[in-house]
Amino acid sequence: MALKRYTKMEYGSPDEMVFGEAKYPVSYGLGQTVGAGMVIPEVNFAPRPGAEKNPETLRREYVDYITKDVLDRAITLGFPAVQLENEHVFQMVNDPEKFEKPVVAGQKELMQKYHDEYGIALSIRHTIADPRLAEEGLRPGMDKKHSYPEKTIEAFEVAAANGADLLSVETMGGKEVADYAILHQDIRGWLFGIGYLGSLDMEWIWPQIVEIAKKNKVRAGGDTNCAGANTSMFMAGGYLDKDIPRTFSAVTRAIASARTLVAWEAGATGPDKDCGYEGPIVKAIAGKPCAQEGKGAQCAHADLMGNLIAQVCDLWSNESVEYHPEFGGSSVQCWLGNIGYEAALMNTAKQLKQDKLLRDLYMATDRYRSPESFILAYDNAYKIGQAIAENGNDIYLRAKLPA
Amino acid sequence: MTAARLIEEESKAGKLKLSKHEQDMLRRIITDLSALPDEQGKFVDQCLKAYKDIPMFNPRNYDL
Repeated sequence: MALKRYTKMEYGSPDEMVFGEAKYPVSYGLGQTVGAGMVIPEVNFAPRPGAEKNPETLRREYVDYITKDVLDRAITLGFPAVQLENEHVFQMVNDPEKFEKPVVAGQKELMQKYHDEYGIALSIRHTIADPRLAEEGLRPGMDKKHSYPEKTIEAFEVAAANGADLLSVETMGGKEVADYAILHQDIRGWLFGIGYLGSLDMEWIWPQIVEIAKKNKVRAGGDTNCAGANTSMFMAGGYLDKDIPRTFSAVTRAIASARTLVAWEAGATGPDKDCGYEGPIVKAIAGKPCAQEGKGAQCAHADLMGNLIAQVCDLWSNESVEYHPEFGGSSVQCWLGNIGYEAALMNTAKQLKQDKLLRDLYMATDRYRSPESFILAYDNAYKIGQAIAENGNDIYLRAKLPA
Repeated sequence: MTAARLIEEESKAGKLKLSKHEQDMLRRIITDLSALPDEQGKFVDQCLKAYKDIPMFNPRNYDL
């Protein structure tokens, strides 16, 4: 499949961008539309260690406990729309028929019941694990030991055929070089690893995901450079951390944007993945909805742009939380409450026509907190997007020039 | 070098505070990126030589 390169910006100016609105909204799932005037909370979770003991224990954890808790709390709090995200554990990609299929089917069955009974708009993103190992081979036929490239594709097929609404992945291509480059603070190596090799890997996997989605009448959402740019960001850390300069991390984010864009060039519709902090940049280029995470993801990690990154989001996520009890209920219930109320604030701002004011408050709060938050402020994100689009047909230049 | 230049300008304007460590890195990034060729082929040749010994890196994974 040919890729449709972005060589011009879909938005005419940065000010056109705001949370809850995308140029190209996407409908899927049980009455869900993303990017059409409303921010939707996207709750993400992880099973407790040991739940993967066998297919039934894993199904019970995901369906009977986690999904039911999420749906009960969404109805209790009166949220009109919720998206669930299931980031698959290793067993689900290693043996999809046994471990993945019952979970995917069971979650959807329960969601349908709540949708029918309460009218809540629901959808679920299945983020397939990418266990491919560079040392064994990233392409089919190369990994003779585990067959991970083949299993990864199979896991997409099983998810799409059994209840997924949206397919995503955090691909690993280029990470072996990018990790080396981070440790050596070598920007050329990082550009080669993520900007070039990572884009080539995306060009291989994403047309296949899009085809699987089309065949099963579901949506291919998008990717994230969690494996690369988030590694930089978290190693750079905050004000107490001195190992990796935050200027290095900021520049890697700009490079990563060109890689993440490839999924949409292959025909994915969005929304992309929440942990892709490059979302404002790719949304500025392509006009597709983006998922983001920030202050509502403190259960998973600390970043230096907890408010700013909400500025142009279409889904607002908690990143991921391990299932466990907290004072206010189970962890998934508590964190759904957190992101659901934030989405309600954004949606109220839209109804009162104060959304651009709130967007600018979010942005101003963290604009100068770090170099990375500064380049992701929507006005600067737009400029970086322009540098990508102006060189859209050359995967090297479009990663180098926005850096 | 859009991102690096944006950071540099805002730092010079005094609004974005950077430590010396971060400023040094920024200067190094600008120098390193400025030294790169404009042609994709030259860049790839350069990198395949420079990074061939990175453990786990196999150009065949990318059809190179």
